[in-house]
Amino acid sequence: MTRGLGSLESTVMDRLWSADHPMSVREVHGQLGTDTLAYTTVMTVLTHLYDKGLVTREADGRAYRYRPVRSREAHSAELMSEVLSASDDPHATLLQLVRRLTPDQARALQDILRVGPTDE
Amino acid sequence: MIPVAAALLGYAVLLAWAVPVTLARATWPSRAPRAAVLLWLAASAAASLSFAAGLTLATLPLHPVWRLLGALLHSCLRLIDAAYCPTALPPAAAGLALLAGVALAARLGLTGARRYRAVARHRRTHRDRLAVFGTDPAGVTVVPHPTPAVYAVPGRRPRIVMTTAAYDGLTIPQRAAALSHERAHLTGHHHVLLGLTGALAAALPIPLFRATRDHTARLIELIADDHAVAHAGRTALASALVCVAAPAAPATIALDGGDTITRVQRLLGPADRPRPLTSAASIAASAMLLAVPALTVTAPLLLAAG
Repeated sequence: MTRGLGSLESTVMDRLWSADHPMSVREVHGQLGTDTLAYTTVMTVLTHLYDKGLVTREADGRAYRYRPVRSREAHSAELMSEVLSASDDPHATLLQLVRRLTPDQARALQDILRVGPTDE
Repeated sequence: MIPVAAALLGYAVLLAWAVPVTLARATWPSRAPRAAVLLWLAASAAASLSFAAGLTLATLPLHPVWRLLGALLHSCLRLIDAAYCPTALPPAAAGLALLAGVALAARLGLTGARRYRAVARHRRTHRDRLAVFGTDPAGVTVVPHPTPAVYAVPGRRPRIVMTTAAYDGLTIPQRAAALSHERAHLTGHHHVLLGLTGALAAALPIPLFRATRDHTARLIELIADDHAVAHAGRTALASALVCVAAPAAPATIALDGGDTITRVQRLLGPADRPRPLTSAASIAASAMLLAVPALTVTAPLLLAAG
């Protein structure tokens, strides 16, 4: 069940990004608080992240050690590249607040703003 | 005497040509965006219904085919047939009309289904990648990135996203205005309107449907702007738009922001007085456009009942 685990994904990823080595389920569980969170819950979250291709794992004895596939910056850069790309969004996948101005348009807008509102 | 079928087809063609030409040039839509969206949708629906009704009436000579559709329709069809049946039309033409109707309906259905699957998959993937970033107390997903951006991912589990550049660059009132704009899109289910108009234009790219798609997209931004103004004020929203729309460092990331300038000017210009007459007139026009095919087809039934 993925419901309710959404916010945990960000907490777990935050741990993995902050760490300097691949972490086991037990390590992550220990850092997050063993009394508030079940071991199996942490394991489920890491498995989901692995299935989504966000983390990779290597066997260490009988357990797995997990690490992020990309750094936090690289992940957000990849995420935002499609949001910011110059190509239009024909299917309206996302609803952006505003369309970005070209430098010429930005200059034109500054001129308009300098003139001030047409009504007091 | 022109057969009613031809008249309905002619009405559809007239709408398809005349509405985009006249409505696109009008200035009143930005003063009453909701009513304008309704009129665009009504024109597209009226053209579609009229065309479908015209084709259907043209197929009436194919009696055996219609008999197969069931006794339930039989009495209704008999009344319409008695009033409108174009007996001068050869069965071959009627058959062609039937084929055309089925082909158009299939094209529309298949295009719509394909686009819906694609966009749902795309949104799901994007949401999965967003899940690893935390949310602020207002429920906004914050993504670390040096370029300001604010957007919403609509769907069953919607998200509003801000980059850290936008989050930190905007003042609290400006953030509230931006959020209010995105929330207006989500509560108004504007993505459904965009999906419908987009599918219609993709399936049958006639000028009316393409213009409906383009103008609906433009007008829902104005609807969301008005909503944000009511909550956070014109200045807050205008400055939020200017901040987020600023050209990004690599000059290649630049969509055409022409619409942005228009929106900012609209916000900074004199506040529009509410114009109930404009809205009422547009709603009345929408009803009248739709009434033509609806009343034409049901007239024999109404007359028989009355």
